[in-house]
Amino acid sequence: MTADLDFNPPRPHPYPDEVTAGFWEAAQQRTLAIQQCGDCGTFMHYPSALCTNCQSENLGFSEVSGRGTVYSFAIVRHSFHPAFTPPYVIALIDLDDAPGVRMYTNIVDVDPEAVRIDMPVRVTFEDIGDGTLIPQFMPA
Amino acid sequence: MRKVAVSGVGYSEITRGGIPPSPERLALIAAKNAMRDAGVTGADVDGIFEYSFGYDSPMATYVQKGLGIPNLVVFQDIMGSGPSGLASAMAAYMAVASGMCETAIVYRCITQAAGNTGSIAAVPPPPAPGPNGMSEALVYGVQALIPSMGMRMQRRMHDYGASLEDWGHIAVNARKWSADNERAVLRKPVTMEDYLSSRMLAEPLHLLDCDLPVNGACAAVITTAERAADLPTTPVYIDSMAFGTGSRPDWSVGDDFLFGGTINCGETLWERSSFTPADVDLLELYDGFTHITISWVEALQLCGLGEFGDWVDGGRTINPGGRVPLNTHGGQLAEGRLHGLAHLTEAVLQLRGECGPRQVPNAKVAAIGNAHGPQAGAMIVSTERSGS
Ligand SMILES: [Zn+2]
Repeated sequence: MTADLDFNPPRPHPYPDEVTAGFWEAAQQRTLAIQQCGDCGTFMHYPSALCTNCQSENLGFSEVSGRGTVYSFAIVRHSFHPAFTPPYVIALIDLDDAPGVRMYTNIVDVDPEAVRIDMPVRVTFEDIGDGTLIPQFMPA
Repeated sequence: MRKVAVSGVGYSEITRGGIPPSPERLALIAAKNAMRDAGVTGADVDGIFEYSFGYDSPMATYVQKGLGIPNLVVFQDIMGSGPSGLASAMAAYMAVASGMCETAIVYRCITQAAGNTGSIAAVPPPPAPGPNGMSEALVYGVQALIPSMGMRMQRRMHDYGASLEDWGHIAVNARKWSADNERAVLRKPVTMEDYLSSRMLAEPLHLLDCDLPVNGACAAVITTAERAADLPTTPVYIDSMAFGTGSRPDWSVGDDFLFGGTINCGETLWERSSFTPADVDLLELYDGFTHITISWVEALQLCGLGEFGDWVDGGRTINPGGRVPLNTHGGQLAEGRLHGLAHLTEAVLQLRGECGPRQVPNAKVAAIGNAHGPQAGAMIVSTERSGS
């Protein structure tokens, strides 16, 4: 997973904008924060410009525990991007305390063959080469 | 609404490699062949609809010029978030049925280089993703759709007890049909063993779960049933069509990860149709990935959700000679990735009885499904004006 800057291009970076910046800024503080509607409490990911439940614009980011379970995963065995060296695990995680939220991640610090659906995981943060931190998950 | 028919279909050659192709030439050749098939000239055409990613296909007005069409009263260049190439025919149906135009040309032109959304072609990622699933996925090394399809397969095995062979039957079936399709790029048979031992790309997804990027175009002429009756070909009527997105649509984190909008699409389609799933003589279902094809079989209610493995009966149901032949041109897995519209053009040729050695006997009703995720589209076509 580690980019070798002498030989490989950098990993793709997040592109925060006015809607998504709160998520990435929290990650930089080693915090997993999910967008939540200030009126009806609905959690949303990816962040939305309107609450998808009540269409409120009163939206913020709430810190969550970072615990969840694996909804599904795949073991990537082909090089799709020069900055990523197979094998690595991509997964979708259902968060324990943000109902309805499913998010992309890699499962790190694990033997890819050991990953299972419904496996408990917790968040960790990975430096993708220049100090930028992104949320990742590892076995809980 | 006016009754609408497909009166002509046409193709360019379908190739791989060689000198970089001209999308302009491919699209014009396919459209010209469709017009010849339908027996119409430029003066008869007043609408054009095309679907593209934006750089792989010429715009409608370029094709208008080449075909000598004096004026377009409606046209549209449809972008990549629609239901793949079928989107062009769906738009033409709406325009002709509503009276906005009389006779439309539709086409999908695609080149090998542009086909990377569904393939393993190693091209650099797009630089400016927006706030959606595809862009965040990139941060995690999820390029294009392959790993995400691998995750769908993994979850399907968990939810329904699916086996790898279920997807393998789609891959093996494609080559059984393409053996008798001279347009097809891949015509050599593959076995289940070949499928299971093909290169693992995003476990459990194999290389033979993916379609084949090619250079090519296909096109159709869509007009009123009234006008179609005066043209030389057997009219193939568009009985019904529907879009489907599902709730909170997204390719990665939409509410229905396994089926996307296909289930909603199937429900709307049958509400609008004068036929039922039991009337379907052949299926032409999108096969950019084998998972998508299985979704469509179930979403179009040929069997219950999760029941494909039993329904396909070791491949016998869908193979040549089967009860419900599937992707009789070999699909995108074998004919090549013409990106959706070729599922319609093949259905038209089958219903007209013009498919030679791969002809499905007495085929009268075909179901077509395109794309997946938040951009599903489907159509029922028939040589009968309506079902009972
Ligand atoms: Zn709300």
